[in-house]
Amino acid sequence: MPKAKNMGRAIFTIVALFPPLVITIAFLAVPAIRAFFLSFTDANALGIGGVDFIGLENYRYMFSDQVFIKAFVNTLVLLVAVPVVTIAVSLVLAEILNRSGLKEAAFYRTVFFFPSIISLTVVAIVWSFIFHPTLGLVNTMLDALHLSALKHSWLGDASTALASVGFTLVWQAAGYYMVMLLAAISSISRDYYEAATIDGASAIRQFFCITLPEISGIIIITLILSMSGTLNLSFTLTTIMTNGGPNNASLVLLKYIYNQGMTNGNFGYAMAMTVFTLGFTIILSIVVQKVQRRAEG
Amino acid sequence: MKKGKNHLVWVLALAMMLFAPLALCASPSSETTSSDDQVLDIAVFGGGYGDEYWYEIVELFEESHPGVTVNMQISPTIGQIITPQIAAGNWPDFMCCNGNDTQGLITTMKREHAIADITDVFDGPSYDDPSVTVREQMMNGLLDSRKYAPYGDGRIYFAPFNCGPTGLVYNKTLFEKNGWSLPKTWDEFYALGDEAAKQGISLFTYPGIYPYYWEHMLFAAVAAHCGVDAVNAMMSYEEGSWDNPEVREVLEAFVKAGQGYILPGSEALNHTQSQSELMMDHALFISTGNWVASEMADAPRTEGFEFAMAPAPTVSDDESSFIRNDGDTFIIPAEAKDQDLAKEFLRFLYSEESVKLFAEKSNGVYALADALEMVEGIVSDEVYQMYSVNNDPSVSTVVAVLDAVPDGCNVIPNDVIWNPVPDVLSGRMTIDQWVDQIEAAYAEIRSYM
Repeated sequence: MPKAKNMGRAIFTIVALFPPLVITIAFLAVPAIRAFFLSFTDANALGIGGVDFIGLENYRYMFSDQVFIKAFVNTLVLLVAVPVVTIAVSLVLAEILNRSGLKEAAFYRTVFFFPSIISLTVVAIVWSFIFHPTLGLVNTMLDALHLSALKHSWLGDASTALASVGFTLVWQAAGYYMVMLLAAISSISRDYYEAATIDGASAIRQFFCITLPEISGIIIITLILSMSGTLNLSFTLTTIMTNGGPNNASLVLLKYIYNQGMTNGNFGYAMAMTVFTLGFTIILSIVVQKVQRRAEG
Repeated sequence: MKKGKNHLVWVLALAMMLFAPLALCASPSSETTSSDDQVLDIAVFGGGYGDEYWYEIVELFEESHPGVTVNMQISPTIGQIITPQIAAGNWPDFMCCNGNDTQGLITTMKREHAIADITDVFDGPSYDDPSVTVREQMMNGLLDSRKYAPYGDGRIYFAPFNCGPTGLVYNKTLFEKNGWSLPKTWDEFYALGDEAAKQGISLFTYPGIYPYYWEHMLFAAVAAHCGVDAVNAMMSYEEGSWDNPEVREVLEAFVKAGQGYILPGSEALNHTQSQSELMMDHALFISTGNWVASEMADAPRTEGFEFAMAPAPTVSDDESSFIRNDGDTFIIPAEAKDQDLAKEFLRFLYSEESVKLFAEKSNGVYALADALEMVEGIVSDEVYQMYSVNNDPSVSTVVAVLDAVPDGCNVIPNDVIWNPVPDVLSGRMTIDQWVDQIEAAYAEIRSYM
């Protein structure tokens, strides 16, 4: 009887595993492997006209392609700056909400969380009007503050376009990570803070010596999450807000991959860039983890 | 035993869940019909013109051709829908394609020679009057362009659908109110710009986020000064097609706009935002197409605003003015199952009945020589007026569409040409740098030919 029971359990396990396994293989593993192989070919959008194996040609071309290099640098800037700023902002917000004992803390928590549940397309359209050169809130406010000299056509100026997109990314994500960090902070034992207060440590000292070390693990996780979010969301935002312009000043990797693959039908080259992006993000998250381990000693 | 049965039910249920979506992917053409019936599978881009015309024209075709069944797929994202079907070997018999091919489908088909030669349709009799060929029905000069005969051998692969003027759109009422006449040369344009500046109106605005909108004006300006052949050379990536003294004169005249003649902030606007600026009389001209009237139908505008279309500026007064024409196309895939029926459908679309129906249902105009005459009173006055520029004997027409880049080439010519324009207009980039960049990209494209 126990044997039959074991048998039944095994069958159930196999049956239960079957659907997710098939879905993962069909929609994740196969396309990923296919993308990897296609990156060594000159495949086009329709798979007609034959697919030729061209070795590392796509990769060689990639590093001589000025547009790719520009897109890579822009992406790198966003990947470094946006997660750091986002997590810093959300940490400050979380700490304030946690320690200030504000009556309206729950209200602020909801308000700050709000941007992350709005459709990203809506966020992009709203912010492209906030940055609008003549009607926009930013320039209107600068006028009102007698700071007209600082006015820019934010999304149309090569020096501010990428930063404007980055700012929107921070605004959109900060509240989301704030909630995660808030949960981590409130799980720290009150005793530490009481002891520190008795020892005469200031709130800022407590933040750096207790809060930060206690939640460093969560910070690293949110950093990595924020990186992958930045990589993905930068596509939607730049597509709507700047279309990668002016003159590729805000072009990001995913957008360029889309342009090559979907507009130009160069699947092979687009796949090569995709594989590169994948490898690059994996390396980046390993580096972040290594840094954390070292910091923990 | 009971347990075993339960497992079986589970497995079957799961299998059904997994494979149900696959069943949905099956080709829509798999309907069974009796042997003497003919089936035509068509795929239609259903964009700004809506679906109504297509449903009715399909019905009329079935009525007038007994035994024919038309299976239609129509969607604004038709490329996304049929690309997987085509990859699986299910080709439609007939396609109506959008001018801006966002999925790269048509570009790839053109590149891979997957489109049927339909020259015989144009040399054959027209649907309404057998004594007139389809070629004679068409708007003048259209079929010679590389848009319809893309391989430069005179054979036609793309059939014109609608074909309307694109150029400099302006507010007719504003001009009448101020007693301004339409400028012809670049000098006259800039003189008018100085005049308008006194009222705080800029000469041009443009969508800096999509700088390629300048193509609607600039290629016509090149045609006026350097001839249609010069534009065709640009479209087919010929060496020196940009880097030559005559083209440079046009570019210099154009880039002068950057010296205070462009509405400040334009470089940060998208197409609807910049078109709104025009409609609020903040600028006199914008480079765009005839579709702007329907695209901006619900947008706020100054009182009495009326869309009109002007040809591109000329360098000297004795040159004739040019307007660019652009529009959607029909193709028959080389792998179509029933090419003869598809060709019959194409002839039918050029019938007077179809042209009038398109005007009535979609407020659009077919690319036929007599189409504008046929639809007078059916289409809106605004559309009629904008298309009338094509009937002006002093204005010539140029069709400018870039050739598909050769297989294996990763250059995106549209980006190379237009992305630098905001930098060139603002002076961050010189004309020399711009032209050199284009010529370098053209050389790379040629290396794959």
